Amino acid sequence: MMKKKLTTLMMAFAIFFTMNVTTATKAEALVGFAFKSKVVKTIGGIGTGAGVGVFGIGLLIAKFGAATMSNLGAAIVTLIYGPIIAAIGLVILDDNTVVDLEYQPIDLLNTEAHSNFSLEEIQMYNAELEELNAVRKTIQSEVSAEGKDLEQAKTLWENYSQALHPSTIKVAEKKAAEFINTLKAAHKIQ
Amino acid sequence: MINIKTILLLLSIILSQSVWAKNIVLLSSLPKSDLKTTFKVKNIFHNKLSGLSDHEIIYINEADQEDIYKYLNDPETLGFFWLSHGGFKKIRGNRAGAIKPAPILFDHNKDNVAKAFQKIHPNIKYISVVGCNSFQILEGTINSREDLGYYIPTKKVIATFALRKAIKRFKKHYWSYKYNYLEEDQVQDGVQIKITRSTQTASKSLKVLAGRKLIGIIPKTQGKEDQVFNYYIPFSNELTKRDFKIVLASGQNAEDATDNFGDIEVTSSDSQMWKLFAKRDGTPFGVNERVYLFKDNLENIQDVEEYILYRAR
Repeated sequence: MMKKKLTTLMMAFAIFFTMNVTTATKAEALVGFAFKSKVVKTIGGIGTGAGVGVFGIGLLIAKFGAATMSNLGAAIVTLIYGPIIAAIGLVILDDNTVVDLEYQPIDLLNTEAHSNFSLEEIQMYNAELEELNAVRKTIQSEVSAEGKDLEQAKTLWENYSQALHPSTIKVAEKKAAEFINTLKAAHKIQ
Repeated sequence: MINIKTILLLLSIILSQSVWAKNIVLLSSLPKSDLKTTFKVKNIFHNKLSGLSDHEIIYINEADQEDIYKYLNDPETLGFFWLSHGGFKKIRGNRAGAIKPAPILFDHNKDNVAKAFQKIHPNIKYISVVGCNSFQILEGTINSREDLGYYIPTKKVIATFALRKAIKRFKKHYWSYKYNYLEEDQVQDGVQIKITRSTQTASKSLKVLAGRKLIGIIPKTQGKEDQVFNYYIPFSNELTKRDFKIVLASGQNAEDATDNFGDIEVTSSDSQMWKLFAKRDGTPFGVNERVYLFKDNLENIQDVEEYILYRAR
């Protein structure tokens, strides 16, 4: 059970790991690159097999000419669950802007949140958001830089999350799992 | 045939706008490779606004978060335009989730300057952030300021087209409203904190956030330098420790792992109890940011004083 939970969380982290890397592609004159042709370009380890096996060391940049929000979502899912992804996580990108996913505050008036967590748990999560995102970025950075594998990334989370309150960890893990499930549902992924 | 009333009305509008010589500012921050666009943007800005001779037209290229903070908090700024690459994304099916994309607005170094737009002087009556999908960055400000005109694209845009549109809307706003400026400094209670930074190499400017609110900027350094700056954390009786949590953020992207924060210390007259959020070995958590946790009791914060949040002039 715990293993499953951790795996789910790390899958979510895996997305973060790669999403938070900004692109190094050629700059363009358009603010939004509205007229770019459709190109899918890889930078980094994607396509090299082993490299991809880790948390998205490779950076896949999918530039959609007239990308919409749903293109982006589709890109995420395709990349996460597509054939490349035996091992999780990869990027996203349309228009050279990379998405940095982060934990954000939970509205205390959100009744749905209260059905899953106590008020104290939500308050603690909200109070420790900066620390949670700092831990997330640290893991992302260390995994990307050193090419650590899934198990090592899990270990990092287990070690670093000790700096957080147990309520924060509980909410963060649950929200990460929800995030993955939401994407799966929205894009009809099994 | 224009009647006398119309002429008087136009004159009164013109005179009312020129009581103070306010600045109209464009900060452009496209990458160096976008030279052609940068040149066009500069020309458009000057040409389209040349008729407003009562105002100084300020154009700055390769602007960064320090420039943003400076001009957004300058009482002389009337209209503010920012132009760079940007983008906020929504993920389908994730509207209510706690994990969401952060707003992104890149400067020419690809540093994220989005959070520098949190604090905007009340004398600024029009703002435009020309960057793809940038609306979310200023959504809160726009909702709380009825007198603020704006143009912020909600989709992908082309720089020159969008800037023309932004200027057109600014002129319409300018001629349609009588602007009221601060007549006295806007003050509030706060707790003064002191941040010292010693750098050995050239270091980026840092956003200073307390309780997720932008309270200032630590300027960049050119090399070995000792900096001492005071900032105020807004005070209220409902403050929690979270409001005293200090985050310093360079905005550097994850690819740029250059750690040039320098040695930093956060203190106040009442307390020395800010502790860097770090691993057991002292390595800070976070990438290109530092989190300082308030470890004292809130009851020990006694030294509350009035400070100027926005200067009138």
